[in-house]
Amino acid sequence: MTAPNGHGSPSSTPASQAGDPLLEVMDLHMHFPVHEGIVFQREVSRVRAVNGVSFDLRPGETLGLVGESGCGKSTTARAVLQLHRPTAGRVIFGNQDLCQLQGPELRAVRRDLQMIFQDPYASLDPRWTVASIIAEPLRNYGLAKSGHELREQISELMLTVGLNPSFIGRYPHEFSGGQRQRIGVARALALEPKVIFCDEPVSALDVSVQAQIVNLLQELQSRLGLAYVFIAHDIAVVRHLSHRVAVMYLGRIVEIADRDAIYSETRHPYSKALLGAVPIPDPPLERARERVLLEGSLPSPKDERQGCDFASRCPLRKRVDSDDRCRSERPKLLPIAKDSSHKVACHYHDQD
Amino acid sequence: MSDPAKPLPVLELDDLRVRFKTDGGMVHAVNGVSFRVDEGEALGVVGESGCGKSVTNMTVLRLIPTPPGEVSSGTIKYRGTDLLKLSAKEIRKVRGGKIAMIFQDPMTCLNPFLRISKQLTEAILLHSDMTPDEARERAIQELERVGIPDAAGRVDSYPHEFSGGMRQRVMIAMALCTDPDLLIADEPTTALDVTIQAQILDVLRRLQAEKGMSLVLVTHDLAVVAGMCTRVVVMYAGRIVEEAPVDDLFADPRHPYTIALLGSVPRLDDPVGRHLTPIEGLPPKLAEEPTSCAFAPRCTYAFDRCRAELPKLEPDPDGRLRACFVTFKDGVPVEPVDAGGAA
Repeated sequence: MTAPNGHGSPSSTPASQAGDPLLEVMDLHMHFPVHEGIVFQREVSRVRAVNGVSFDLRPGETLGLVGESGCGKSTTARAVLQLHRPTAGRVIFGNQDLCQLQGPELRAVRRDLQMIFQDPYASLDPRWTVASIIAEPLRNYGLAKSGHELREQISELMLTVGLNPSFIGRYPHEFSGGQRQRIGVARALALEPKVIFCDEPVSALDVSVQAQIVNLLQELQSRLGLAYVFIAHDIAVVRHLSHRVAVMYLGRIVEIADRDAIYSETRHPYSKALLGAVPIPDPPLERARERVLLEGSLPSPKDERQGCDFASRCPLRKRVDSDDRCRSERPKLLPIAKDSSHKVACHYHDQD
Repeated sequence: MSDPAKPLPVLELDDLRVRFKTDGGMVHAVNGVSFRVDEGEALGVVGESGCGKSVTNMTVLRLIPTPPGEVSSGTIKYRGTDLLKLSAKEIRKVRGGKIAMIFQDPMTCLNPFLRISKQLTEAILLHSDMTPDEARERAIQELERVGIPDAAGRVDSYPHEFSGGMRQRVMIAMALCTDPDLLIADEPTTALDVTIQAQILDVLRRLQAEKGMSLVLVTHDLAVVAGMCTRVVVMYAGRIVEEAPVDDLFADPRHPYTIALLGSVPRLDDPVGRHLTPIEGLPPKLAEEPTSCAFAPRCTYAFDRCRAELPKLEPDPDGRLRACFVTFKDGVPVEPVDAGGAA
């Protein structure tokens, strides 16, 4: 595995070379049954939101998860954290399989796995003060011995995320969007977790404020050695923050690689289309760019297909797949070369 | 059109001011905005939430509810006619006719109870003499033009039967079915995924070229403007702070806010490890009309004059417009125009 050539970026943590994975996700499935009937409910089909996702996360690393809405990136995060109980698969964290844990055991593990949500307006209770929001996890786990100590800890957390501790008695509506997201970050940090799942943490913010939160997350990572799973549809932000990036399509990872490789040596035709669709704030470059526009729309996650999920829309398949292998055989997520950390799920990834 | 030397602009705003009476007091949303849109041109209007970009453009079609809204001064001329002086009946002729608008969220803009065919033909029948059958034909044509597969078969579907990207296409078709010569697109792709965004922008680009229509693209996304527009105005706190041809704006931004905006977004082609420069602080509340530079409290280069005086949108020697007392070259301050120790 190669380390990202780092001029201190996105943080100075040498991600890919660090030892054992902190978190391992193996063949995770999250299916939601669709019921019909009013009295006798029977299952008529299943929405396969996550359909065999595997990845690992190393200490201090940021893994970016990109893909379009409905590709299962948020559901993956929730299933890993056991907020939805996965249909199948294993989530190994500290020698335990989270999918097997129940009650108090699961609760103990959750201390190390926290989440930051997209909408800083919806994820904070409007009737709680900042103090009670940040204190909730501390209280839950009985981490403060006295009221005084609790207050101390809250102030410290507020300082850590760049909030003025004198605002401790204020309510969420008294803060701007960016500040609210800082409260969310403080709450996630309260239990000193090892991993934070960031689900679109900057999508609801204005661009100038977005940069504040992005920088904060980076700074916290290098200071506290946190590992992030960073979910966003803004691919430029993901590139900016991540050490490795996984591209998801219809509940599966179609490509995963070190950050530089995924952008400079994109292999999967869907990744190419996705990255190619991101506009760049540079007019001459934008005009000169060749765009591969995807045709058709996302197939239904209820249907089960034999072959590649992307086959129906794939511009590459039309050119190279003469024997219809894409329709008949599902491509596995395999390294592009022996021992490469760059994996792709495409039969024809080496063709252009 | 009457003056052969200089064609009339399609749309011309002059010193537009819009304010809202709210429970928390007056909010001055738009504070003296002037710009023009020429024939066949694509103008980008850029700024963050609350900068007045949407209010400005909604005022063009008189879509601002009054009260609480109020246009306190200014003119909005469409081919020489002041839209603010038209009667309610007259503006209805223009709205959705010669000037059409599309919005961010296509789901809230389409009536969920009516078939697409009904919603499209309604606009056509209102603005033309077509028979219902002709209008239906026309609606199908427009749906085909915006790239909806099997348009004839889907014209009688309901909005919920379309995906987000397809709904936005329906919105565009609806806007275009009356042959407008000006389309105002307010964050048309913000709710969409990037691959769909690319498709929608492609549709807009193609239609604009085909129909020679003028376009006002309101967005917070500088990257979208880069690929779509010929000229850009940047708004902050209800005023235009900079106006420039698109290439110049990105290559040589001359207002500290534009510079800061460009510095705060990560780009896909950034060198790895570029540090993002956020803009510290928050936009002002706009409880009063600004009397000094509204950006000064967040500006790295502000000096005494910025806090005492309101910079006007004035041309540089080469004709580029900006509202700042400091002179910039390639994003770096060169000197304060006047005496004063900037930067």
